[in-house]
Amino acid sequence: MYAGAQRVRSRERTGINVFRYSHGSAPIPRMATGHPDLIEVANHHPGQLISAQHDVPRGYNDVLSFLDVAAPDTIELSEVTLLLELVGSEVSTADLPKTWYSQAAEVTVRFSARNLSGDLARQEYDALKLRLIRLLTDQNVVAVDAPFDAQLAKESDEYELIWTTSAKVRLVAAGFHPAARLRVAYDVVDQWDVSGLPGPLVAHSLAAMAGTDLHELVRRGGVRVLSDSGAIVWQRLPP
Amino acid sequence: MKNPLADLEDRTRVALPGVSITRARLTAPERVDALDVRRGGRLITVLWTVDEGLCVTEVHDDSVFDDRPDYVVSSVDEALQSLLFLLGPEVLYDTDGIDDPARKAA
Repeated sequence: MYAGAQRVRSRERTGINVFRYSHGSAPIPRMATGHPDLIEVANHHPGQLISAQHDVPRGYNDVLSFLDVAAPDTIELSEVTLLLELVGSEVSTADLPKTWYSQAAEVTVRFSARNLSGDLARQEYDALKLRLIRLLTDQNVVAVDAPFDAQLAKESDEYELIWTTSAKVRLVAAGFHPAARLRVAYDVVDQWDVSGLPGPLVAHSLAAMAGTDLHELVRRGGVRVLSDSGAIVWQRLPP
Repeated sequence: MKNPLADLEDRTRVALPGVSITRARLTAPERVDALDVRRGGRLITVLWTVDEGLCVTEVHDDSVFDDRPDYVVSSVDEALQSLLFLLGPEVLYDTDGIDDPARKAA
């Protein structure tokens, strides 16, 4: 896992953007001590983005400060917050940027705030830490390799497809613009072919609903259509 | 604490040449005073009060009056530090693209 909060500055405004990446089953780069190599992770192996919140639209903003955390995906959140608390007590006297390592767990934290020191550095750290912990405790975050699920509902004269909340959160976090729902009238259902799998129009519909192509959805974990009862009626998963 | 904004204004002009600074004209500047620092399209307001010290806040078009200040400091040195932080040149930028690293050095 690689997660971070950074205060960024665009031409129009300043704000805090937060993001969380997952390494899934891939190994996380480590130092000789066994702790995650945060600089290597941040620069070359961030993993796959699974969640993000942006005060400022991302992309080529100035980064004024950042608070980064790297840890195995399986880490207990309490181990991360414990180190973040300990770092907070040292920030005002630290020579920034600085990296901290947990004594008890495989957690690495790095904080940088250009030009800030003393109490100002602490204020900045606390602001970033608050946003980062808020993101890490977000219950909508799901595993990166989970398929994107859409619910299929049968209405009086049409079928309706709706992304599940977790799928929609992940699609938005990935930078796509998913449609809220898609309706298909019964008279085209024969072509749509939900029951006679696989229907090319189902694939096309899901891709259009996601705001990307089917290949991209499969690469990110796959896509499934679930019936009212939760049964899988159509799916396309990674090989 | 004596009104430190005149000192802050002078030091800001030296540290951040090219900024535009406007002093608020308040009726009791010995108790409360403010200055606006502008650069490009940005506006940073520094409010000083006898009781609270210096509050440094970036003002956006959608800011509201009771927004918490970005930084609350007690000295001109710290206020200048926060202005440099918010308005100074930067060498890092965030990157676009979902699979790119979140940040790169320029």
